[in-house]
Amino acid sequence: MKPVDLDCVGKNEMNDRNDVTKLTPAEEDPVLHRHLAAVTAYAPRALFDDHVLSRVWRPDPEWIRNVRFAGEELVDTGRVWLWIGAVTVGSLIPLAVLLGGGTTFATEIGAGIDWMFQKGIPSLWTAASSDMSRTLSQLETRMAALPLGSEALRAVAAGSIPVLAVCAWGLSRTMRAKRREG
Amino acid sequence: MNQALDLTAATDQQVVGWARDGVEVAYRELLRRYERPVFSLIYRMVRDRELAEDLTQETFVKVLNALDRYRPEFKFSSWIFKIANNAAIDQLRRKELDTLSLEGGPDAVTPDRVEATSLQVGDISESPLEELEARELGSAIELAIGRLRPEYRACIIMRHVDGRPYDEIAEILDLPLGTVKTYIHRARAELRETLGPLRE
Repeated sequence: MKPVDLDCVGKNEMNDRNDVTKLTPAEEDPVLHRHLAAVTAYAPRALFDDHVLSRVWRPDPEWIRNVRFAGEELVDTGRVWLWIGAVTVGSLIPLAVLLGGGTTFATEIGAGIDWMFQKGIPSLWTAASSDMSRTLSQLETRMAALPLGSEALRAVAAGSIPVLAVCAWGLSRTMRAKRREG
Repeated sequence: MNQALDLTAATDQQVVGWARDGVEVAYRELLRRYERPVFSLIYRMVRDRELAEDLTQETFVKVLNALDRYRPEFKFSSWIFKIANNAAIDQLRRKELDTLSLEGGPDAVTPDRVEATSLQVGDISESPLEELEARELGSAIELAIGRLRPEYRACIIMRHVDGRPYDEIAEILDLPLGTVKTYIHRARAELRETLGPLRE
């Protein structure tokens, strides 16, 4: 396509209208513009978007990239064991609290269920509450029979909280130090 | 983050920024904004629906895969239309399709090809008479546009169908501003001549 010099063509008309670039298309040629503006806007077929997007590489969302970055940092810094320890201890806490609390307060929980029953809990719940009370009592008996018992579970729960806090502190310190290096 | 995005009110640059962050709705918003004008331009240039769809798809794939290279100081629309126009021009050079028939492209030898290369004129009025007139007018305009040289065609479509300013058309087509003015002036003259009886 060879560029054409404006001076060769349409000069008089351009001069008459001063600078055409400042006119709107409708101002330049109203009749022709009205006809051209009315032509159909064609659209591709349905699912065009999906076909395109299936061929487009999209970066992962930011939160996934952050998680991946954090994982790579853990491996790079050799602190992955710290993280695994924190996760393991952290996941033990709810279990220990549940078992320790359940066995310690089994009698009170059972009494509470009985109280609710006496206050008019629908009959549908009667059998269930009775079963729960019986199950808790059995659990208390079995836990008491274990060598360590419920006291040991409570000790694990209490001890794991500071361990978890120390792990989290160490982890965050590691990450901050690595980011500063970056 | 996605729920907080107000995509309809966002600028192209903002939407591109979100797309770079991997937000899928931002990709879909860019497609929603540009699929019709890009497809219309390419369709009017190559006059083959299937081919136009392929070229439009290639254009979007190329653009969306290269968002990291997009520079926000330039208009996104200029970038995508430049790629679309280049794809259409390359195709025209390959196929040497430079004349239009509403009954099918010059290379249409089978009924399927005739259908594929025929431009479809949409209904834009309600009464039968108005519809007839509109279809006739639409056909004549499409025919007249199709008879223009490809470079005139691209200019006149971008100026009068898409309403783009001269400087943006010049940027899209990589032409001097004066050349774009000339092309549009000549294209208008040819259209006036072709559409003479319908222009009253």
